[in-house]
Amino acid sequence: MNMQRRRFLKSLGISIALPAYQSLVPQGIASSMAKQSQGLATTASGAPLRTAYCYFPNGVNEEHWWPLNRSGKLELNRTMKPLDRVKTKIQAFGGLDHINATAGKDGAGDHARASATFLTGERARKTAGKDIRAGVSIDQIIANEIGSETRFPSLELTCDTGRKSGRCDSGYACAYQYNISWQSPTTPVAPEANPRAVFERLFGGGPIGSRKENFQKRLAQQRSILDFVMEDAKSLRLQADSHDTQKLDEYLTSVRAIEKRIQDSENIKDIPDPNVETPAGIPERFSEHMGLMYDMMGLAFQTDSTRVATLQLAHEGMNTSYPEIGIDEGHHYLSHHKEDPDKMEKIAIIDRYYLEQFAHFLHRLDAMEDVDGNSVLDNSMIVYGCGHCDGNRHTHDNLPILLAGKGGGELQTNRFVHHGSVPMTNLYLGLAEKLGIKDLNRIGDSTGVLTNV
Amino acid sequence: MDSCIDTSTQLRAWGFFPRFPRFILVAWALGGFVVSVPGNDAFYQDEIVPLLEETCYDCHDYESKKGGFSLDDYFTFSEVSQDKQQWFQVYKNLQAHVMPPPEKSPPTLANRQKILDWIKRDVFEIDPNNPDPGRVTHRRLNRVEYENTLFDLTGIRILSGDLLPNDDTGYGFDNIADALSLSPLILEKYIKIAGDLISQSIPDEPYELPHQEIEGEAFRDGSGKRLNRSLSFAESHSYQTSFQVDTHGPYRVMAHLRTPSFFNFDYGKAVFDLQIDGESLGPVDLIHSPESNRRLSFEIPLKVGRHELNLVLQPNYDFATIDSEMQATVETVTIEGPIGEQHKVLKPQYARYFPKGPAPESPNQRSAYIREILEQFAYRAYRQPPSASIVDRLATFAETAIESENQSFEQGMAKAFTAILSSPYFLYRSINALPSSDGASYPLIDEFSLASRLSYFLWSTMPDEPLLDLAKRGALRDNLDNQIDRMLSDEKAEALAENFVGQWLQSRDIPLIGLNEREILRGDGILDRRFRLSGGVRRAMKEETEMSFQHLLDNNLSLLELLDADYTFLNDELAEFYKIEGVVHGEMRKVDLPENSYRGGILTQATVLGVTSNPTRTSPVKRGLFILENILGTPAPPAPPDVPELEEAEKEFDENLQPSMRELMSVHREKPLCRSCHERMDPLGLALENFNAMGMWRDHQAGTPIDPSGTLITGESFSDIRDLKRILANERRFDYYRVVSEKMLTYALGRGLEYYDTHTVDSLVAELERNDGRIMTLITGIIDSPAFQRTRSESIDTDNSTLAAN
Repeated sequence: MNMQRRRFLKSLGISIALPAYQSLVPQGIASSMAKQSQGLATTASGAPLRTAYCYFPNGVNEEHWWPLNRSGKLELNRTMKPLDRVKTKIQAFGGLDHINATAGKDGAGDHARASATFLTGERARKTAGKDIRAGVSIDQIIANEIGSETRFPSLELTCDTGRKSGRCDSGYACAYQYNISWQSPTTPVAPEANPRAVFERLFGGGPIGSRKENFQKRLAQQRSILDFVMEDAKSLRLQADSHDTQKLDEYLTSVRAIEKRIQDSENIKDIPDPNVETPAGIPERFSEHMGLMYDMMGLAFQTDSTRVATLQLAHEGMNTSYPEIGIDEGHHYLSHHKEDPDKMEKIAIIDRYYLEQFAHFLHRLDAMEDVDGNSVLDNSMIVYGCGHCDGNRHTHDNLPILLAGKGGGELQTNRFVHHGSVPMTNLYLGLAEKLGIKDLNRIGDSTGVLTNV
Repeated sequence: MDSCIDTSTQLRAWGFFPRFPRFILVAWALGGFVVSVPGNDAFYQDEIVPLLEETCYDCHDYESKKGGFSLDDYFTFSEVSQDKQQWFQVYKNLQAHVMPPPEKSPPTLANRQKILDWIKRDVFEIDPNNPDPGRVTHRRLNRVEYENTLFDLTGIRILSGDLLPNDDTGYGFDNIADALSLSPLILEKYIKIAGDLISQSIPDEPYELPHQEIEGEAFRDGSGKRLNRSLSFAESHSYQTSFQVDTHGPYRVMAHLRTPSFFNFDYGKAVFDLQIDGESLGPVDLIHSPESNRRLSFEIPLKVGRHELNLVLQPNYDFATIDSEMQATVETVTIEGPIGEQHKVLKPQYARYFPKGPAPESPNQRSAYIREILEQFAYRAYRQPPSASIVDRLATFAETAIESENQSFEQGMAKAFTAILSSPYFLYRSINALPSSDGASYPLIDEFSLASRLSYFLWSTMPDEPLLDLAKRGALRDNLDNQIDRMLSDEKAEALAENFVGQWLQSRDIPLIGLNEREILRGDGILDRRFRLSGGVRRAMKEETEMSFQHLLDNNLSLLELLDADYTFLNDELAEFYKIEGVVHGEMRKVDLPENSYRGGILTQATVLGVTSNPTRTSPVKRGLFILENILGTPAPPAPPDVPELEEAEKEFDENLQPSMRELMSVHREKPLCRSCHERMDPLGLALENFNAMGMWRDHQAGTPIDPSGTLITGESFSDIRDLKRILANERRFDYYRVVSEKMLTYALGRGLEYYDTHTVDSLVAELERNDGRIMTLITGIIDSPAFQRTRSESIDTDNSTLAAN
């Protein structure tokens, strides 16, 4: 573990060890949270109900992934062993499909489709750049409905730091592979990779004690600048001809979104100032990076800064190696193992490595006491999965999916359910319903609400 | 070529068409009554349909409909001309000889050309004298452009990679308008970066004493040698330079030195002495210190005139008995003065924003000054004159801050500067038609748009003063050639190698690509631990490719030299990697290669060889695909959904027998599904097997001698990479000219190429051929092309390709 992360965790740990551990959440806000929101994204006990989607790439080694018990009580297989401590607060699903990620008439490009479809359920248009189109992703749909409840409507995070030059997957624009959140069918939401930037955006820059002021200053700066540039955007849009407005509309939409966020956060007087050091930046080790991004998500949930987040742990088709666990070959290369036992074993090791980071995250959420006395994990619904099941054959049915958290008591846990063969998006409809969003008829290819969750 | 002729195709060629009467009937019926001239249906039916029948109908009839394409969907010419996007695919595949596939009999070259000409002329309806230039939507500055543009405006370089999310790329480049989107997060960041940058870059204090900074390198010793090294404490050193003083008075002389801060105390000592006109300023003892930076300051009166400045360093310890590694590096010597308030001048960084100094006292003068400053800054930042109403709003914005929010003049102005740098006029580039071009369907773009197009193409940054001045006077088009020459000789033009070549050949990726040296070397039986992919070596690799391109640019050489050259660019470290002897210099330099060397040309450079490898071993498939896509421009048939991989082929070998990559791949290729692609890719990729995943030479792989020989699908045979390079640079040069033209045009325009660009690309290729591939032919050809110079008028709104893509 590197110094930066150790220091970060240490400071986090100290806060957690204290009896009055709610010091992380300023008193005022903790009490105001419970009464503030009745209904949307709120548990029966009045606590915030959070949703997150975590994506890992390239499918799994099924032999070691699927729970030993094919229905009923969750019996963790080798890959999921790290989840043992929180087993009673999670459930695993089989039989969830993404038909729009399959080749169809579009031919090669399973990696681009796997990620573009994952949260949208839509078939991504095959184009290398022009007229990019996927669909609005579930996290953004939720953020549109419940975003006003918190200081930030949503968080989009990634652990991908670099981009390969040249073309992406088989004639698909790179946008499909590097984004899982889409605010409109044509506009992806670029995720943030730098934990420091995430932290400062959430709580303000500078050392503990000075952040609140810095945060307010930034809001004030944004407010005055936004007023001004809105006029520029409108005048530029008037000059543009009708075919050319899409990019300017993205700008105008962004201006309005930030303005709305500022207005919403004015209702929340207390800006939390977590009693932790600001992370220094992107750590060198991949597991540290994943850990810090999970930490950021955890902090955002704990302080009720947002109730919906996405985290792309790595882009689909990623082919870098994992030296810290002794995997020298590229992940994508290994995923096309063609039943070679040595390669399959390595895939199992990689799967477990990802799950270990996820397990740490769940442990931390479970150690955070929420306003209603339960843990933050109890009051969360966290989807963990991939748009491929078998990376070797590029299958997009029976996806490897975990749902962590008790959803404020609404979710069943400690079980494995095989749903047969239903769209993954049915699960999203089901989760949206738990958040109090009732009027969503359809997401992508959904055929109904998955109720057995 | 392929000798296997499909019998059904032959039958049909003889006139037996029993199965598909509709297609034929229409052809017969219409052909009978109308005289066929180019552009009409009769020509299609009489001249083209028979050729398509013979060449394509076997697979592309309504029953087989391979690849989802059936000629039966095109009974009449109007159906053809309404589906330009589909026929663009046909055009590309026919032209690259991807279709018909090798197992089918190809059309004669004349017939192939006849179909291609017909598609270009009749289907695409391209008027060679007035081709459709297409339209580029508002394009957000990408990270690189944003960083460079802010640098040009403020003099401060931000690290955009740490501050902004990655840009999405399209068509292989990160400057494609359609792919560059904006989200609230990015806009928030733009506002924050602008605010921080502006407040940091406006000095608190407007004035400073005049000073001149003398770099260490300006000093020379008695023999005229530059002071470009660290000075050991164990020797005596004496260096000289001179400086000019224009005003009599007291001056401050400040030296900035660096000495090493070793963990253990070093007993070396030295005396440092600065002398002006032979007079010492006072010797200073230098001893070891944990602080590396030493700043020494002296005051001395100076008269008007030229002054000698001597720098002396002498040992001050017993170097015979004491072992010391102490040394001093002279960073700068600064002459500041004359000292005194009355001599102070405006700080250049302050003048960058406020050219006439702080605000005048009188409110009217101040208002006028505010307007003037903001108009100037917005003019540069927006790369075109801001409208009067924008300037009004900016001025009000600043004055409100100063008056009602009680901020200082500088703070109020900083707010307005921040607004300018957050405005869509700054963040987006737009292309505007010349106002005087009413009515033209493809009007020229105005000169400010042209200036930006030029500067972001060649420099990846905003236009500078001369470009904007010419555009303002409407004289840029008339001086285009001079300006291109000027721009390319500016060091900002290195951006073209870094960003265009860096993405085309992916050399930008080599510094960070995950290659596992240990595994690669072990696989090749290399036990020498010296070979490490250090940051230095990776940088050298990247520079080798960039310098190869820059060399062409600096000397207007042929693009073919990128493929095959008897020189390359190396330093000692990279030369050791390449096992090229006699290179001792630490900096990258042009090196003539030994006769018959395998090296020379991008295919033998570690960048290309590395980025096309897996982390632990080479990938002939990736390398083959790389050459197909980036050197030959073959539209690669996509891999079938379920590719039986090499490992499956491996199972067919005795388990004690370690097959070579070539043997493995030949088994895999026997499967018909795989063969058609691999016959194209494999010979290319296998020809590079002599280079491991780090670009090092090897004769053996897995104990077997490597056989790099092969035959291209177009028929040319080669014995090794040297032959292949010659073939690519000779017989296949048209393919290469085409792909470079397409890539550079895509990069220059910031959009993917469409069917209406085929004529532009054809012209670029023809010009390259006429001029032996000289690189300036391509660059000026692109800049002069209608696609670069013109835009589609707003009244024309039928973008057929967009509709078809839906």
